[in-house]
Amino acid sequence: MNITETDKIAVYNLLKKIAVIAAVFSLLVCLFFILNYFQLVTNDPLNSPALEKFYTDLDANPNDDALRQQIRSLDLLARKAYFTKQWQINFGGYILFAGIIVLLVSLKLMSSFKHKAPELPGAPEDTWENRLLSQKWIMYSGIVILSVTITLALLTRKEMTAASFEKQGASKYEIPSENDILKNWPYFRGPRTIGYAEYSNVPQFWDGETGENILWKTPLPKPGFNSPLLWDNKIFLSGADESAEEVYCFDAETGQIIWQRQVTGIPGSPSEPPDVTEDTGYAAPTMATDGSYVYAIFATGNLVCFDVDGNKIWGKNLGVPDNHYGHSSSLLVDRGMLLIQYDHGNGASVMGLDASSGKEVWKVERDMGIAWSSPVLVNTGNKTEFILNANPNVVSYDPKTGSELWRVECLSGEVASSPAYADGIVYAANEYAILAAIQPGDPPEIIWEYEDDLPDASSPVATDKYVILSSGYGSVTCLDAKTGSVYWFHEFDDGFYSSPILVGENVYLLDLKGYTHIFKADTTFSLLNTAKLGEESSAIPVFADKRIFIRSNENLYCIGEK
Amino acid sequence: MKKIILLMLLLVLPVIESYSQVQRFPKPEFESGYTQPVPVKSFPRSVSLEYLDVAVLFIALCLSAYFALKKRSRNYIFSLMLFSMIYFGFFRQGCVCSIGSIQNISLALFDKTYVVPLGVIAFFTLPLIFTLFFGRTFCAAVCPLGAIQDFVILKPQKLSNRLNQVLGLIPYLYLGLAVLFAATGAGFLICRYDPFIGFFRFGFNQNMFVFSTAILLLGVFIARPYCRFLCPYGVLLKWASVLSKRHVTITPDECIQCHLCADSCPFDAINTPTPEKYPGDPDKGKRQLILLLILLPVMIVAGGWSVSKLSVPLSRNHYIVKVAEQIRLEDTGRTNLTTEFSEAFRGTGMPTTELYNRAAHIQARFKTGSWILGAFLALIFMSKLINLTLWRRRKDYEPDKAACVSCGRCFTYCPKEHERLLELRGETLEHNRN
Repeated sequence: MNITETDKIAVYNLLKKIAVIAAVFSLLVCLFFILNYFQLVTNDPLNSPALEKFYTDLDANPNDDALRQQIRSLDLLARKAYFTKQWQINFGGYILFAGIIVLLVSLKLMSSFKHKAPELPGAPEDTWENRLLSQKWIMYSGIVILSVTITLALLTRKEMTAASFEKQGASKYEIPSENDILKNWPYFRGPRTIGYAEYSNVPQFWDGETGENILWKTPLPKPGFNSPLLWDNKIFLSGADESAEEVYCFDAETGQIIWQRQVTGIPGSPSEPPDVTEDTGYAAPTMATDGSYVYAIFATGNLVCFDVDGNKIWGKNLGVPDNHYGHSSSLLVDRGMLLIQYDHGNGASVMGLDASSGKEVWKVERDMGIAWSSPVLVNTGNKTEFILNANPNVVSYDPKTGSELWRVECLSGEVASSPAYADGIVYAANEYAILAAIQPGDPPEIIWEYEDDLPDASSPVATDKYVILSSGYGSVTCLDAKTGSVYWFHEFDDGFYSSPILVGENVYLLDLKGYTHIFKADTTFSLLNTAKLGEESSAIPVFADKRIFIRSNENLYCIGEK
Repeated sequence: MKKIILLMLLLVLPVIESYSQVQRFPKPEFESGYTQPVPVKSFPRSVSLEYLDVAVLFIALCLSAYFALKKRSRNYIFSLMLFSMIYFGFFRQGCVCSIGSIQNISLALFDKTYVVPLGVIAFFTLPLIFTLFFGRTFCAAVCPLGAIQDFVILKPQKLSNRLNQVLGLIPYLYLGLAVLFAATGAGFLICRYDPFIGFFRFGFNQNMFVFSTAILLLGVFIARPYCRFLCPYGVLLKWASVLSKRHVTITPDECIQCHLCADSCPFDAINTPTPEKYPGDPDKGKRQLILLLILLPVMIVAGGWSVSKLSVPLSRNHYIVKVAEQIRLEDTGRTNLTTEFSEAFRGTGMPTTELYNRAAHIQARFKTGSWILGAFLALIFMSKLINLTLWRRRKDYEPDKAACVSCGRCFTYCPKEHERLLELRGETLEHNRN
């Protein structure tokens, strides 16, 4: 069929009309769209003034069922209107799409009817100058790209480089040697966990008020009744209040805070902290360290692990403990196993976690009451035992597997005092119960018992000759380790929450008012000195080479001869 | 008319943007008896349909080559292009596509645990094989991305040679980045920034909508801007097309030097004849070539070094590095704000050291990859410069094998083509005049 020029013009004009109609139609749909869009943006149906007013009225009359029904009806209406508008937008989109397609097709066909005649021959474009110009442009663009690349590279945060992550990732966990542990103070009651200091070359006199023998003193950001730890030249402790839990690292030389980390992002962490008493607080348990990592636990059940440089390694919540004072059992770490005593009203248990990952290795449910005491780790001859005081039993576990080795029923009441150990005998005591000297074995045997002036919060310390007890009432008793007979009894003015620490042949015992009483571990009471901190304290001092570190309620002190 | 088009498109912009919003609405706070629908998991496309796609691709490639080389018909090519836009675009919603398949292949090469579906391999290799024989006939009528752009070409403008050269470098950069991201597991960049997928699927996110509409608007005046100045698969097709044995020609016979086809190509893909003799100083040209060849290894090292310095910011596109950085910021007290990703990570119970180790491993891969990317880009830059220094004698107007998409627009500009068509109809030029 031959199409004449007239036909072509007619078709062209028809297409033009179609294009114009499609354009007008699409424009109208566009306008509808814009109106609908602004309505959707400006009108939030669920926060309309009418609904708000109804809500306010309902707050005032919460039992008004008619009003409740009105709100529901209005809410439903608002939703219907909203979704209708949405449907309109969706449907309109398709209509608009169709309109644009018609417009484009018309324009396309029109252009095919308006065939452009070829230009008459001209000079070829591909001149040598053009090529040279292109070369220049490519060079310039190369220079621009290179400059942008280098500028961006310079602006990059350097600490986020691969090397940095490698360093973090490479901070592998290492189990410390026995010697390293003894050189430091990695646990609540010293490197042996039973209240023994390895260094005896420490001062016997200081005065926190005059500054005598006080090398430095640093205020603590948050409160906590936990005791400091020392590893190499770093001191670790934790602090917490209702709003936050924190872990601190101090420079042992200067007292400056090296790092301070808030414990955040722990899965399962409660939104509201549990109720605790003032004298226990949210950070009563002492941390533990093995020189690679430090571990902290709080009254919320949050357990966190940082490396010694303050990088968080892992964190988990053990479940909010049901504890009317607040959780206070301190942590221990033994050859890669983090050991936790977790005796609470909603389920007593003891567990061993892989220290490097926080993964549970073993867990033993216990038929015990709530306990505030801390476990100890002792070598009873050919094996290491993990011994816990609780109500009503003293129980020994294998720290590797959690298997029970022995148990003795001898405690009662609110058990907060931790076991002591010396010369193969375990000493467990608690107020309103007894002090029992236990010979571990199968079966274990109570060698002797003692019933007076028993400790409530502090823990006894024992040697092969003596057992020394201190109480919250200020009494200190020295017993014969073999028989339980009293060598001496002394009453101080203030009570003890801290525990006696054996430093060489002497005992250092810090009272609640901040006085450290230094006396001989001997058959007779012989007070060597009383050093004054000038502040209240419940913590156990840390004994290092020529220095003592004490946490008061407000500050961290370093004591040493100037 | 241009004004109408502009007005239309400018109005459409905010409108479709609103259409593209993902609407969310809170659930009622009271019990309404309404049962929330259970999320449904969509199943992968069946294998038989995957084979159907491959068959359709193969047939379309055959037809495209036939229409371009044998039939020399723009109308047939255009019809096939419309079919491809509907089938591979709107019906198959732009997936699987040959352009994106680069990433699957790259990932499979560097991650032994990743298995590439056969269909994806076919979509990657078939167009390349066809291009190696027949030029870029895939771009002409089979690629849905090319088709949608071709459809909106209304007022194509010529770009200067220098602009074409410079903008033509972008696809190499895009290709390099896409391969780097895919090979390191950081994601499929090409799919993430596919400008036309939103049109094919009737759904956009806000930023992509602006980008997509801009590309399509630009396509009204700059023919196929994505194909020419972005498409990473186009780079591979260019290389294959240069080697193609049978490429479309403007004239079906000998070029009669009429120059009528000079302005026919909207893609600036027609090479014009060159002077008979080397127009510059031959000694200077030689010196320049030698200098560029000496500089080539230096620039490759410089390019590798400079881009490797960007490996850290580039690696942040990997979710593990992103999470590791966030965890690091949180754990070192530099931010108190957690993200849903960091919270999710902590929920896994994975030790931070393990996360850091993984991040370090990925960053190391990015470092190596960035070196290669920089070296590759430098090589491309230098090759371009060297290529522009070389002198090749060209007598006729002929398609630039690399840039020509075999669309067939130029055919009807050639008097020889008219002669051929008349002969096919059994007529002669004289007879036609009479």
